[in-house]
Amino acid sequence: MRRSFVYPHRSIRSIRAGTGKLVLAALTVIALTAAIAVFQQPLLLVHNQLCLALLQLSGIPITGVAPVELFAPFGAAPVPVVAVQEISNHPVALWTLFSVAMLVFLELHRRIPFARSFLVFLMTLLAMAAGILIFHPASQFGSTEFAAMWLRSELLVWLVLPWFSASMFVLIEPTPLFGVGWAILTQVYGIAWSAIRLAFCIAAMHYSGILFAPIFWFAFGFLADVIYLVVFYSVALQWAARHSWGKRTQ
Amino acid sequence: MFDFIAWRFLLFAAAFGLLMYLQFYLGHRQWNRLKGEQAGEIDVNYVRTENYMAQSFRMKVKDWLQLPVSQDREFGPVIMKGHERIRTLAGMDLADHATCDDILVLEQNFSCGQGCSLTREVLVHGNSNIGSESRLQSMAADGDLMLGEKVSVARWVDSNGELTLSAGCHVGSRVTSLTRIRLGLGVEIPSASAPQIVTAEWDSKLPGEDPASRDLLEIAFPDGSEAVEESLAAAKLNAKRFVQLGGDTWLYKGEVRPPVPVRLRRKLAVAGDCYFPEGTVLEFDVKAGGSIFLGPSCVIRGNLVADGHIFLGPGCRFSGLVHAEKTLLLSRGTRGFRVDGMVAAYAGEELSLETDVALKGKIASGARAVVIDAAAAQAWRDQRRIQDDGSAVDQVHTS
Amino acid sequence: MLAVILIAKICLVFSVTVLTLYAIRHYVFAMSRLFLKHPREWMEFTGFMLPRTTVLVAMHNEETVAADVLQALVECDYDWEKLEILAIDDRSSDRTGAIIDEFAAKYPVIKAVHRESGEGGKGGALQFATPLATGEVLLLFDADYFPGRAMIKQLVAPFCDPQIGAVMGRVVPHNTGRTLLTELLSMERAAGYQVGQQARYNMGLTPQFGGTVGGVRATALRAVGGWNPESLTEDTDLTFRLVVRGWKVAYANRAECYEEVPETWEVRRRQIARWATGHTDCLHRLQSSVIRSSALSFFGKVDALFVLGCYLTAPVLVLGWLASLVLFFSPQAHYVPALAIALTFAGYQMFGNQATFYELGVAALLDGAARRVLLMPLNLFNFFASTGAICRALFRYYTGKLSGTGGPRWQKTRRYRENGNGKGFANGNGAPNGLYSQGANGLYTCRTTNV
Repeated sequence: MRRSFVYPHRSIRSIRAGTGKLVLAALTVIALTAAIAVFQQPLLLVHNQLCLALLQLSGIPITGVAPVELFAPFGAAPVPVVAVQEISNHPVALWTLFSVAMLVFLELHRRIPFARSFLVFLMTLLAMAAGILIFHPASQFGSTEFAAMWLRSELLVWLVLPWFSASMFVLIEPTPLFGVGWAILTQVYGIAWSAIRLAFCIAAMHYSGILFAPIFWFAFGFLADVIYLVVFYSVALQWAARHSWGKRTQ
Repeated sequence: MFDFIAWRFLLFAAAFGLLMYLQFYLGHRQWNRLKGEQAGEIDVNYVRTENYMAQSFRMKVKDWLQLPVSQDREFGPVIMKGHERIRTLAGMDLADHATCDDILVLEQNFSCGQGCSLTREVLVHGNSNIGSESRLQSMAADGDLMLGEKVSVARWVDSNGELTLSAGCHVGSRVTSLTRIRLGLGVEIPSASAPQIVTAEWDSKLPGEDPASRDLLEIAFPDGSEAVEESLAAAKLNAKRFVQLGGDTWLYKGEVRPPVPVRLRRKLAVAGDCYFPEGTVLEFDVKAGGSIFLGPSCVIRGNLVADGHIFLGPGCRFSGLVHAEKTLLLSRGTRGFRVDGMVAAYAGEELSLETDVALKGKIASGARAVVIDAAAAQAWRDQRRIQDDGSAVDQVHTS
Repeated sequence: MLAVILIAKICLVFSVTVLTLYAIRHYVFAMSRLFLKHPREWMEFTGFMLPRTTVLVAMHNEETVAADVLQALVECDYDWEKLEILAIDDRSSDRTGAIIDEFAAKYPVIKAVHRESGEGGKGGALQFATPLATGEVLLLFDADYFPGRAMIKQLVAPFCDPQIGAVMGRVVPHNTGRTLLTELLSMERAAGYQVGQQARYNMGLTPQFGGTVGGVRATALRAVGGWNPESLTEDTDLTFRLVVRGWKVAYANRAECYEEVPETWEVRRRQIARWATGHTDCLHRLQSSVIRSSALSFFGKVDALFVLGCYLTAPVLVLGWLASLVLFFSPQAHYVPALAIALTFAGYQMFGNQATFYELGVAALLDGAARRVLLMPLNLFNFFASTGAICRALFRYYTGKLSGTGGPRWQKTRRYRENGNGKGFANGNGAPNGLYSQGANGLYTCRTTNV
């Protein structure tokens, strides 16, 4: 017999989330969230070590490691301490970096129409930072404060991520275990990628102070989190879309 | 000389930039692959017909028969379509429990005994007779097609002549005929379409006799006059709950439970349930946000739509479309007929037909359409707490 | 300084609250569309509900596409005894009028309507032609659309429900491979229709009548006062005037029709600016009727306000970003992360045009569009471009209102197809060629039942 089931037209398709899948999704959420909560200290330690290693590889002098308070139930996390350029005291460097960056953005704005609004967003962040440095230099902060803000946000992302992963991967994939595996991979990737991004941001701040800190925070921070989540989601969906509806036999 | 340049940092920055780009790499690569491709997603030539699958199969066979014929040691002349074999024969009579894995094209008649298994499509130019408990993939017959008891068809069946599904048959997809479809007790199908669809014990009359005419209470619609309000009160309707949606369409914000048979001459949307007593005549479309229960011998000349269940009592006549979001029961003696077109009945969940139901057009369901006996029909009514006459269990009618 | 920080916090909390509510709504839609059963299957009645139908096609300087749409309509499978096609030449300065006249001379089912003067863009043209319509149901198509043969029967089927006042079909871009933008917009459309519209319909909320690939009941249209030629989005305007009165809008997902989407960012910017302005204008005119309507449930009202206010989320998002930026440099910065995360996941994830990336993905999954779904990360740029365009459009709208310089003006979206020759598209992937033939009455029959 040919397959007895005919996949319905796309206008009426839906996926049955059976009890098994729902239970598996719930277990995934609980397990991943509990893992983050329970193992947050070792995770933060690994995160810090990866960050330190990358900073050393890129030749950034590391003053030490300092503990920073995250949120009350979570205790302190170790972060690298790196000397950050007080760029407001070096107006030539400040204006040079600012001008070069703006020129690059403007040139990209001219050449790439579809990225114009995004570039305007980045230019706004840069202008705001420059304004603060010129008119309110007391607002400058160091790598420790930046890393603390970073980790607070990333920890929240790691805790929220299992909820997205359960609905995006476990419930949708034709093979639920593939979905669970993909959820775990996303979580691991998120932690490692966070360390890499933080290392780059701190390294850049060592040379440029807080001039690019808003861009790091908004673009390389939150936006990059959403981007990698979307990438993982799109790959998982591509696999699911290929395998959910079968192929017409010739 | 260039010690002030942080080479290692620049390398790290370049690597970081590459890693950032990698987030977009898959998308960028996919865009390069999709460039210039036109979407080919809609078949603009598609024309909706009920027997589309069968006619499409007939056209494909026409093309396949143009393919080269080869000689098979076991079967003689065959046409190979990929890994499938197409056999053209004058006729065929398979013994009990026989199996055939080929696509068959038969110039004359076809029959098979009990428990046969035909795993590919079959086109029969003559008549076809399938033994009980056999299993088919799908079959198209130019003559009459008879499926024995408990025959199971994975996909569709179609005939130009009369198509009979004996008791207990199960079909996975459309059942279509250009003449008549007979459905035995316990038959389960998703949809059927024919000039006549009849269930067991049909009295051979379609449309049959109209119910005896009787005096009916005319439902007038509010125009501010006292006479209309009194008439509405007799039908247990509150004039203040009517809203004119526009033109000839009204909305009633409540339940409709007239104690006497009524005649409705407007399109009406009802927020709650409707219970219409025996002999009610609905001249135009009626829609209920709840369920619609019609007593025996009601006449429905418009469309009937409900977000809940629909019950047509014994001997009802409908000449439009009946759409129940949940379940639908066509009681014994129900007739669906119109002179200038076809009727249709659809249930989002189960569509149940009792015996002696006949209609010209189509039945379809989101789950299954099934022919049930009186006991099952009683169970249907008990579950929804209605009586034989369509009234609620706690309701008393006056005639 | 403290006041600035306090204001920034209030703005951020406001922004996060609004966007989180929208995000929850979109996730609910996506989940319900993905997992729940599909009710209200009107497609089984295709070919059984056959009211007298008028098709209205308003054309202003559409000589490149006019022949295609008229030929496609002529080839639709519908009894010409019950069909009329009003081809409206709306003050065209090119050959549109001549093309319409040619078709009207050749096919009795087409009637040419020439509008020589007047204001109001498409709404004005429809208002001009509607009194000439004799149909119970009025179907609308834009000139650059390409209806398939089953389209008219599919769109009129839901009107068997007497409470249905309007029906909307699904639009599918056909020029997807031209530019990156067209691919991204294709995903966006899919999310909007396959998920957004269908979910709203399934949940008893109000899908939007889009003014094309859709229809309205003539009595319903008359009951609510006809078309509004002053609205830039006469479709949104009509949708909510219908529902506050008690009519319902159906969504026919199976009724799919090709459309052209903008191929350049400039054209896209103008299109979305018109939608944003028109929608927001509808919000201000209709919000009190929506709130007061007894025909809508509480959730129906809430969803209607969400729909009407959806383009305001762009400036709300920008407000949130700016507030986050202020707080970033303040001593309060270490409290920012929680709210900023919420802002991110509520705001950034609105990748599609008012759709979450989750919706985009669900739509691609249901469509089986495995190849297109990998483009999702690139939609980031579309998102920023849309946000910028919407903010600029709304700024102009509100400053225009405040200064009394007049409302927004109609601007036609650019067409890309050239030399419409009436041949249309030949792609088809299901029916064997030559299965059906069209009779003199417009109806298709199967070419043969015997082989």
